[in-house]
Amino acid sequence: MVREDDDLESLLQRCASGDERALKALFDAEASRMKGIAMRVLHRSDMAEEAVQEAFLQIWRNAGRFDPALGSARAWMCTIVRFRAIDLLRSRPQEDALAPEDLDRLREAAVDHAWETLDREGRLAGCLQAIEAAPRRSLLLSYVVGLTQEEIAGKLGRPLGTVKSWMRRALLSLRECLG
Amino acid sequence: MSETHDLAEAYVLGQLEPEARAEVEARIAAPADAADAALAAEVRALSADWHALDLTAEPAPMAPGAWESLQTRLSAERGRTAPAASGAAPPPLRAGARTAARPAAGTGRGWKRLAGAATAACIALAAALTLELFTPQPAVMAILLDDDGGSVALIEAFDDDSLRVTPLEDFSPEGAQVLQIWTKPDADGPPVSLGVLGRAMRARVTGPDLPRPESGQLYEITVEPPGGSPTGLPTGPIVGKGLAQRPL
Repeated sequence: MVREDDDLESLLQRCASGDERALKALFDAEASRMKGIAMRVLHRSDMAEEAVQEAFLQIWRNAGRFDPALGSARAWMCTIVRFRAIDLLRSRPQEDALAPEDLDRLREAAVDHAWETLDREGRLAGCLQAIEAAPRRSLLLSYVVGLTQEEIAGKLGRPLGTVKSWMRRALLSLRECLG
Repeated sequence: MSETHDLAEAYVLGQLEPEARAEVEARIAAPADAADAALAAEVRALSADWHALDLTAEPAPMAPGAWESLQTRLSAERGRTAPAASGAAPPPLRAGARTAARPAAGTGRGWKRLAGAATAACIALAAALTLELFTPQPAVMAILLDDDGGSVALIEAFDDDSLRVTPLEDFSPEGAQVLQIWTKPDADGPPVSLGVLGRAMRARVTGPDLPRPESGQLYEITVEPPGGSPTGLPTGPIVGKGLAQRPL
């Protein structure tokens, strides 16, 4: 169990000194959230579990490199699992994949759900709200679902150049809004 | 500055290839100049904002036994490696310490200049060589080749029974299988295990007390069941093997 004073940051510090119980506490606290993040990219429970496993191995190895000055422990862990999931997605592209139309539907649903449930009081939601729907969707397909710009273009049925310039302009507008 | 913004955004959105991503992470972990520091600040700010989207993921319970299987992988890895598990304080983040566990994290600026022209294998090798500036000279080095003659890993063996493995391609085994590193200290004797890795990763491994590594000594990596070879001798397919040479 995570005691109140055992926040994620101090658990990571204990991991860095080789305390496996701290890793267990992190696992208990965050693994299911992390699997949820991986599911939005991989849409398969077994592969999402693998992403989480690999993420925790990486967290264990690199706990000493975690620097609270660079962000929260939870954000760091979420980034690790998202990148593991994206790497898994790219390393096993079509192999034993879901039917394309199912995959497409799952990706749509993942992006819709993320957008609909995003904290409306937060800065990100406010700034994303100001962006047109298609460019915004492109950004979400990248961050939430892990698609490349080429995949986003294919999915939205738009030329790659169009998607690239959408994303560039959307990011510029976000930069001003968030900055 | 806009290049920094673009790179930070591509990183946070997940648009970078693993090598480019590792380069960003190395720069953030040990900023060498103002551009690195600016990149770190940018990534920190963007990550904090975009993290709101992570919190929208529906939690998905892990399968029963997931923690136990993670433990198995941890102990397989710890069999010989001692990354952060030695009980020592975490290594300080300085320029020479950019090695940690990421295969491509040590390349620094040299990477960018090389990337256009060289193959991934050459880059990883250059990275390993750059790091020699900061670490003791290995007694011997071996490039392990697969059956087709492709280079799969670089081994650097040191006088203190430790060695460093640098994968030149991703030969991680399926599932809970592990990679086991072997050498033949006596050319006519049996192979001796030097350690086990959970996956193809840059790692420092400490093996048993053996004679000083010699030129011509065989090194190889095999795929073995979880926890390592049950017989103490290689049982699985060979990922790569090679003979050691003394660096000049």
